[in-house]
Amino acid sequence: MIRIFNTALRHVALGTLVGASFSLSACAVAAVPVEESTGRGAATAVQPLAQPASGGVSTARLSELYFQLQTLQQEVQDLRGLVEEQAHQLSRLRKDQKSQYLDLDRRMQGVAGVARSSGGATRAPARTPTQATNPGVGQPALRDGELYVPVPGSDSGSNAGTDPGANNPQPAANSGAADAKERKAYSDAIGLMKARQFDQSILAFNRLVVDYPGGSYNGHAFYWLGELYLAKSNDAKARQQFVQVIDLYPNHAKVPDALYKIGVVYHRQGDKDRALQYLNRVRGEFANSNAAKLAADYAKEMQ
Amino acid sequence: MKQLLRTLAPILVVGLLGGWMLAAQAESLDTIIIDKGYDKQTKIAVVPFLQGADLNGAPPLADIISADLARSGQFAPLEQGNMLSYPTDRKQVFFRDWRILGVEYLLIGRGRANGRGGFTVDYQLFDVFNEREVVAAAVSPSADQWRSAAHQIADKVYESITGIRGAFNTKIVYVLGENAAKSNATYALEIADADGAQARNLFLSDQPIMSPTWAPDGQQVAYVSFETGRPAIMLQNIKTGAREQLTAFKGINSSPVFSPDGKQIAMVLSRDGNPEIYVMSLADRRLRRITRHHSIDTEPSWSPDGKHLLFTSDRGGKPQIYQLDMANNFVERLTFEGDYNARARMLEDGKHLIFVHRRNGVFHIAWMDIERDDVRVLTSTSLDESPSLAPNGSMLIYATQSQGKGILAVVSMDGRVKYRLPSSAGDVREPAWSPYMGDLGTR
Repeated sequence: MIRIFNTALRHVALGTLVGASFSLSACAVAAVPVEESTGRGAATAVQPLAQPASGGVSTARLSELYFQLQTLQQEVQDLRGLVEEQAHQLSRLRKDQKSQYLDLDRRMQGVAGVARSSGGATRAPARTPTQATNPGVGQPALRDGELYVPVPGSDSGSNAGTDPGANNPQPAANSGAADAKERKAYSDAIGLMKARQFDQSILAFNRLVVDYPGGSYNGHAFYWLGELYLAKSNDAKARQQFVQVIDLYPNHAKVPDALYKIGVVYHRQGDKDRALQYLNRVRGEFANSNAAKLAADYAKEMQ
Repeated sequence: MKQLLRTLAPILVVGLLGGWMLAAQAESLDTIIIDKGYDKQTKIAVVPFLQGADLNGAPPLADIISADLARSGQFAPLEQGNMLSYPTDRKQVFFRDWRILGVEYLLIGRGRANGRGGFTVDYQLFDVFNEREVVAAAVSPSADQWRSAAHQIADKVYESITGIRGAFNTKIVYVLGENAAKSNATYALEIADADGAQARNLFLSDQPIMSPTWAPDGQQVAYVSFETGRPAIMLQNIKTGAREQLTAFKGINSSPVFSPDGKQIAMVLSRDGNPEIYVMSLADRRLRRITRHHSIDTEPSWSPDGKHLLFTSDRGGKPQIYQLDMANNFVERLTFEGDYNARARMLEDGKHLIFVHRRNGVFHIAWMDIERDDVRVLTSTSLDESPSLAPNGSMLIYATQSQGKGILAVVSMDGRVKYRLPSSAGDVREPAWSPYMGDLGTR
């Protein structure tokens, strides 16, 4: 296996060999003018050591010095690498800390806002306008009596809008070990889906729903199950899953998308009337959502 | 849908049609689609173009266009055998027929000799759903531009539907080695269409050729040749074949890359004892030393704005990618994941890199979001090297190994679409994808 660095080293050796025998021609070529740029790193002078050899320093001493120099250079290089990595980690940590603080701040504001709007008395799981207009991503909202803060994905996918990682649900702040397990199960299932292992992903989502009845990810789980069955062209099963989302989680952020998908499935199955019924429902109930736009386009294409 | 192995008929009309292509055809590369990736592909019907009796020997344009679109992974061209009719004129198009077949777009066209030694091909693209003409255009190729005309039509179709400029009408250069490390070894610098067809030789040597790279005008390539017995950086015009030696210093002369404005070339020289990055101004051949470090600095490349140089250095103990600000020589390390990251190329947006990345001991091509520090491995082959970007940034070509032989492979920027360009002739290495070559005119 020839790798660049090996190649480079080989060329040095080659160059020196050839250079020695063709030193005349080398001189001729080297007449090209060279400007030295003012480098940051100080030059390490290896050559000057060779000069005082005649001035009394023994060859043994010289080679020892040379060996020491090489050891030092290697050591400095390794240390440099370490410093670079630590500086990088530090700046990462600072960034993370800042974003965590901003996230916390957002949540606090969300809590304060909810307390104000509901008079601080009851925590009614009312559908907030932000939830309807902006499914999946955005402002904190109440769901199933728990604070639900969707965090815009850290995923940098080019198709951020449809990327399943982009709107993962974040469980409430008081999540314990059980929540962590549940979250892991959910992200594993998402991971499988992203890795396009659809069958395993379906199994994983189904297990999640069974293992955590009433779990905070189940709305999303049913939705992605629907998408997965759609991908496998199992229209009937896909529709069942989407219906679960709207029946079991009527206030869920994925409801507009589920309604839209049900419309699509009906159309695929040839039931134009039913399809339109659902597409119009998204457009009516969640007029500002992304799904409504998609539904409008789809309805237009259907005609 | 994975590992869908399908050989697209490698349009082998070579030889039979002497007049249709350049003489001295070298062995072209075949195209094998490995993974089409996307679930939702745009269904398009490319109807065989009307090619009159005087065009009987010419390769069918529709085949070339279909193959181009299929390779992008974003299109599913309808098999010609499944078409209900072969319209070549707007009047013969019945949209209902195409709707039944689930076709979303329809391309028809006609080619004819224009009486001045050249040809004219006019074509129309229809949106079947809305029964609307999307594109109506013409192109006038000469006989040896016939395939380029097809690629240009594919570019136009691709751009009209995806909104992204097509890169089918581009070239690749690569090094073809035969009997390497034997006494009868030959090394050839080859140029071919981006689909591997119409390969021809630019330079032949019994000594190694390395690191070909394109000038941004698409007229010249630079490369390293050992023809004099030691490495020298050469510049060659691809049309005239004229060659010129840029450097032949003692030691390493390697990795030339043109600046985005084409006025400078960054390179690696060890003339001062240690491999360092230099920049040569092409106008007066003046050299400027850029790096100064006792470790190895190599594989330079330019940021798209020409203000930064990326390079590989082991100054931190392991090969990693660094970025140097040309204004103040400030050096910043960009890669932190893994113990081997090398040969970076920056995407046009200036925010992403592609590079060679070692993971679990295997060399892959990886993509990175610089700001978010997010690294993704794009390739599933091993021993991957020399990534080179398509001018529209949608795909990259790289060299890899298959059954002990060097082959070229292409992967899309999201890793979903993959195809290979193996050569039956020998080992192919170090591909470089050309910039946009400029459209053929209409006469």
